[in-house]
This record gives sequence, C-alpha cells and structure tokens, in this order.
Amino acid sequence: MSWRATLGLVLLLAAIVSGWSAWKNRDVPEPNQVLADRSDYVMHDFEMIALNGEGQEAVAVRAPEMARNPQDETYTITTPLFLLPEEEGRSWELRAKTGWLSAKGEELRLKGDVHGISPAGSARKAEFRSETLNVFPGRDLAQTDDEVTVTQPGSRLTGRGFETNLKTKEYTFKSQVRSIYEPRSAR
Amino acid sequence: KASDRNQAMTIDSGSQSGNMEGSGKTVLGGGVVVTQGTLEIKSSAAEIYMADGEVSRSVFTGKQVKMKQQMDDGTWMDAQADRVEYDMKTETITFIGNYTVKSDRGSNSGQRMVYNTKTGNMQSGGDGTRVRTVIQPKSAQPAQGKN
Repeated sequence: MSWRATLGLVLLLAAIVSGWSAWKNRDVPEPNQVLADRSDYVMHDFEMIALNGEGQEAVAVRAPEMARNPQDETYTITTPLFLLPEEEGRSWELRAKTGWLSAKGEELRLKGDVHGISPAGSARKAEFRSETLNVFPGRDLAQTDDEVTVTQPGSRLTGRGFETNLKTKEYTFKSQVRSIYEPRSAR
Repeated sequence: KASDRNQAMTIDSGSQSGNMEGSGKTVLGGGVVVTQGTLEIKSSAAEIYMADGEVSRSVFTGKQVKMKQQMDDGTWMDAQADRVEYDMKTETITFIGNYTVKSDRGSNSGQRMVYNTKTGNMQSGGDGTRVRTVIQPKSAQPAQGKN
C-alpha cells in the first residue's frame, strides 16, 4: 500500500476519532435543569398576609406577580409592596423592583430602588432609600451594605453598613456617615 | 459668627447609631467633623440629642476636641478641650477639662469655660479651678488667627 494510501487512512481514522469525541462531550442540559426555569405556580395581582405566632398580621405583600421555584421552593416577586404594620393598624410601606423570599420566609431580599415610607400620621415622617435591603422577619432585622439615605423633616442621613431593628427602630451605620441638620430657622 | 446658628449643620463620622424615630441619643464614633457656617468642631466621638425633630444638644469628646469659629469682626477664635458641650437652645458652648481658647485679643486656659455664640462672651472658672488669661497689648503684633 503506497504511503499516500496509508496517510489517507490515518487521516480518516483521526477524523472519526475527533468526531466521536466531540459528540461524546456535547453540552447536554441536566434533566432537572430544564425544569428549573419553569416555576410550578404563578400568582397575579395578589395580596398575601403573613400572620405571626399570635395570629396577628406580621407582614402583608401586594404585587402584580409572584412565581415559585420548585427546585428550592423560593419565591420571586415583581415590584412588591410590603406593608410592615405598626400600632393602630398603620404600616411602614416598603417597595422595590424585585423581591426574593426564602422557602420558609426567614429571609427576604429586596433589590432595585428600595424605597420605604413611615406610616402616614407618624410622629416623625421618615423615608428610606437604597439599592438593596435584606430583611430577616424572625429576627426583626433589616440590613444592607449598599449606601442608604434616610430623610426626615429637617435632617438627611447617608451612610454604609446599615442595620436596623424593625421593632425598636434602633439603627446603626458602620461607615462613611454624613448627617445634615437644618435648623428650623433655615428651613 | 452669629449667623452660623441659622445655617445647616453637617456632621461626618465613621459610624453612627441611633433611633429612626429621632428620639433619645445618637452616638457617633470613628472621628467626627461638624461644620455649621464658620463653626468647625473635630473630635473622636460625639453624642447628639434631638428634641421636636431638631438637634438640641451635642457633646463632643476626644484627646482633645478642637473647635474654631470666625467672630463677627472677622477675627478667628480657636479652642480645644477634653470635652465640648454645644447647647443649641441656649446657644452656648461649654469647654470642660484642660481647655485653651485663643483669639486675637489673647488666650485663656483653665478647666471650665462657657462661650456664648450669640454675644461672643466667655465666662471661665467659677468652679474653684484656676484660670489663666493673657491679654495682648494694643501695640503688640496680633496673634496670627487662621483666615
């Protein structure tokens, strides 16, 4: 057999082997990965009220859409409005572009234009703004590492490393804090 | 300046803890710088007390707290002390613990001094401690105030 034929045979064999190896390693999606993108149920234009251990309203959420992920049983909420009740039925209002709720509701992550407003008629109106906010209802804790701005009549407070106790309203900023107070005469 | 007290007060700090409902005490740490018009105060820590949504009283502590303010006549007053209490209601600043105050008119040092930001009056001592005052003679070159 001439060297040309031998060379041709070798090349043919090489082509077959590389073709087989490419087919073997092709990108085959995991069977369950296909399912993850599809929620098992979706709610539209709803209001959900979560009750605490004593059967009282702990938090209410209104949103145009909420989808549940069957894989980890978490929820994704579109433009949620959360109502955090205070005394006499008044509530803090907390809005964001998206919300993510863990399976058992221990953690809520708000993302995108997070905006909180104190209850109408409260002693001191307060507005809260940030890009993200992580809320842990069971621990009455809300925190974020993003810059936070809190405005109240006559004062404006910005800082990073924010944490607040949702019940006592105590807060802490861990760095880069700036407070501006306008005396009544300057307002 | 008398007009300082009608200006916005800006407080920069390394950390701050307080209550969102503005009641009680707000504690600042990590280095505090306060500016209000020509008034400037620098300290390690501070406590801010609010009343009806306004700052009513501030207490600054440090090794030492430094303060400077321009007088209505354009000259500067520089002061330092272990503790400085600014009472916005009475518009007085009290210097406590190894204070020294310098202005073009001379210098004054002791353990306690009350400075009225409205009138510019300074009342020192009165608590049994010694006060030292140095008054510059008219002819002497006035001490270089910071402009």
